[in-house]
Amino acid sequence: MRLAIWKQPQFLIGSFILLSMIILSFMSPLFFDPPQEVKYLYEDGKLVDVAPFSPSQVPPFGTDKFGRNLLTLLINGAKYTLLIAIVIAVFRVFLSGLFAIVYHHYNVKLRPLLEDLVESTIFVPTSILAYLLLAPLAVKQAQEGIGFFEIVVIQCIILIFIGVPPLISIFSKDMGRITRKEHIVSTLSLGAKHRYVYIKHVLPEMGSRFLLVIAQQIIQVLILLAHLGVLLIFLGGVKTILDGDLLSTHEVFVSLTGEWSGLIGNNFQEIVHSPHVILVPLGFFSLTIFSMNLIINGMQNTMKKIERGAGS
Amino acid sequence: MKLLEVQNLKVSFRSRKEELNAIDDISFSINKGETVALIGESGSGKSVTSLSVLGLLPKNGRVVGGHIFYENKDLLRLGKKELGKIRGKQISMIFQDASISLNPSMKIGKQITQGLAYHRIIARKELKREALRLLAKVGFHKPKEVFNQYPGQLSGGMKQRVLITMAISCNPQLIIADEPTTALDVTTQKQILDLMNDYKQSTNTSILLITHDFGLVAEYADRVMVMFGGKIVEAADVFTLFKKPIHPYTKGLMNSIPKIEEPRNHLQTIKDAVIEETAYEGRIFAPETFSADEKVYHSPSTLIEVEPGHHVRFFNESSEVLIR
Ligand SMILES: Nc1ncnc2c1ncn2[C@@H]1O[C@H](COP(=O)(O)OP(=O)(O)OP(=O)(O)O)[C@@H](O)[C@H]1O
Ligand SMILES: [Mg+2]
Repeated sequence: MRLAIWKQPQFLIGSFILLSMIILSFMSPLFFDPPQEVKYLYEDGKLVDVAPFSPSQVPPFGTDKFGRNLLTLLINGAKYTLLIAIVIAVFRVFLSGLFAIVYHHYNVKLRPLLEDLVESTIFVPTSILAYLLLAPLAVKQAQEGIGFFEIVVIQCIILIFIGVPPLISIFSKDMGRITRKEHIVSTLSLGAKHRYVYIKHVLPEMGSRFLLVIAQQIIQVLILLAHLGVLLIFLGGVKTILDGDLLSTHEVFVSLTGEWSGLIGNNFQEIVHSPHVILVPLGFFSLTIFSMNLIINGMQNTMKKIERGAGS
Repeated sequence: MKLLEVQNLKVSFRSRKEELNAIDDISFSINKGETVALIGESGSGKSVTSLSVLGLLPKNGRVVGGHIFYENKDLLRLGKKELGKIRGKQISMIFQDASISLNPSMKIGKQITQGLAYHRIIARKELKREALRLLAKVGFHKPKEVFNQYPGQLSGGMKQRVLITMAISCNPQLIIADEPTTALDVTTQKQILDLMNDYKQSTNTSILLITHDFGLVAEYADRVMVMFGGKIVEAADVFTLFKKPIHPYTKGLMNSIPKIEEPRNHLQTIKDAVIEETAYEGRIFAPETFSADEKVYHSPSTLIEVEPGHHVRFFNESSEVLIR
């Protein structure tokens, strides 16, 4: 990795897109006013339309159903969405890496049992598992009120841990594969201690694996967040507001952080009449996933080159 | 003087609940300064024998019986720590395929000094100088360049030299070379073996040369053991064995020596060869010791010394024949 990765155009382009989104998002309060709720469009004093407005009415991307400019919302929400996805992915990989080392090293007897357990959880769709665990939290928040920060932390912890078991199994298989490699046996034949072999040979090789899996996990988390948004589970929880005209009010959940999945969830009912309110946030998800894939490809190319032995 | 003595070694592998004997009662010894060849076709148990010596069997394999004495210590009963002190420093290994036996993302200089560093043979700041000296010794003209290169930048022969450098770095008493040249072309093969031979002669090191090539045995070994199906079927000094091979399997192997000019394919098995003799001086050969055919009789067999230093495996007539 090290130097060679910076020569991969795919990696550079992907990183550039992601970084610019995050930086823009942090700087956006300097350029944009906080998104205004403009629910009614008047022309010559006559009411002509209600939010959501189409991209032609409010360029470039239109508004959501509260009449907020989608572009501003999306840029504003990028930092939460991306950073949270990155944090969750990093912790997932870090924790499962640690567990995998311990697991691979010590419990030889328990391993078949654990492996079966892990295998059985892999087939439960993560979004369902996440929903089952997160929904009670949303109820609790609605009833008792949980602090914003607190709820973000709890949600993240849950999202981190549901991703850990399959990764442990993947990593420990990887380590098994690496420790069976001829060059490890060769190093052991020189008298190296197992710990040395781990630190100098196994972990460096796992290191690039870890980075790659972090990138893949970011994508997984983004997809999971989008699914949860549709199921009305938002990071940071919701506030309930009354919506509709004075005569027919109904309760609506609004994402507190404004991260992207929240936008999708908030506006999901509008998908038939104003598809843009869903398609635009989905487009941003896709752009992010696309850049992550570029990054992953760049990393894989570099790893292959090193495997083939060009060094770094 | 015996440096290494293997007695009645038995190794088995566990695969899907099944216990499979890979090494079945092997005994041999290696004297100081001697090159002993272990020859046999693919799967006969050569690598397993050599890995057992240093306790490097894969996780599903285990030694089920026997002793391996090295300087009066039974290696099979040593603790991890003591065994670690012997690995590399007393007994080292050269592996078959250099392209996978070196870590592709570690510089050569670092890899060849690993042994010296663990065993703390020389001070850390001397490591580089020693590495350059060793690299020059194994025939690199530009040791400094190689020191900073990665394995992928070297040719197959150069990588094999690097493996040899690693193996000799701590001045071991015994080098186990597991088919050190199988992956190389004939010219390079000769250079590598000559290099090992020169080293051996200048330091009085012993070598266990594992191969399936009788041509190499004739040139480099003092004694030979022929292995088949996890058993030694014949053992003698090189001259005796070439002049008067007795066991049908040995004869078959000898006839399959590849010609130098011919492209080297992995040794053909000899199961197609017609076995003409079934007995020698009234003793019968056990069919299982030369036929891989599943249906042959499985009969207890023993090594018998037919003349001083020349052992051949025969059917043990005092036991019953088992049919598998
Ligand atoms: N990890 C393993 N698991 C199960 N069986 C094994 C394992 N390693 C070796 N064996 C068995 O042990 C026997 C001997 O294998 P070994 O590697 O010693 O052969 P070899 O003589 O070195 O062959 P080659 O010339 O191909 O290197 C083989 O029949 C093989 O099936
Ligand atoms: Mg082998």
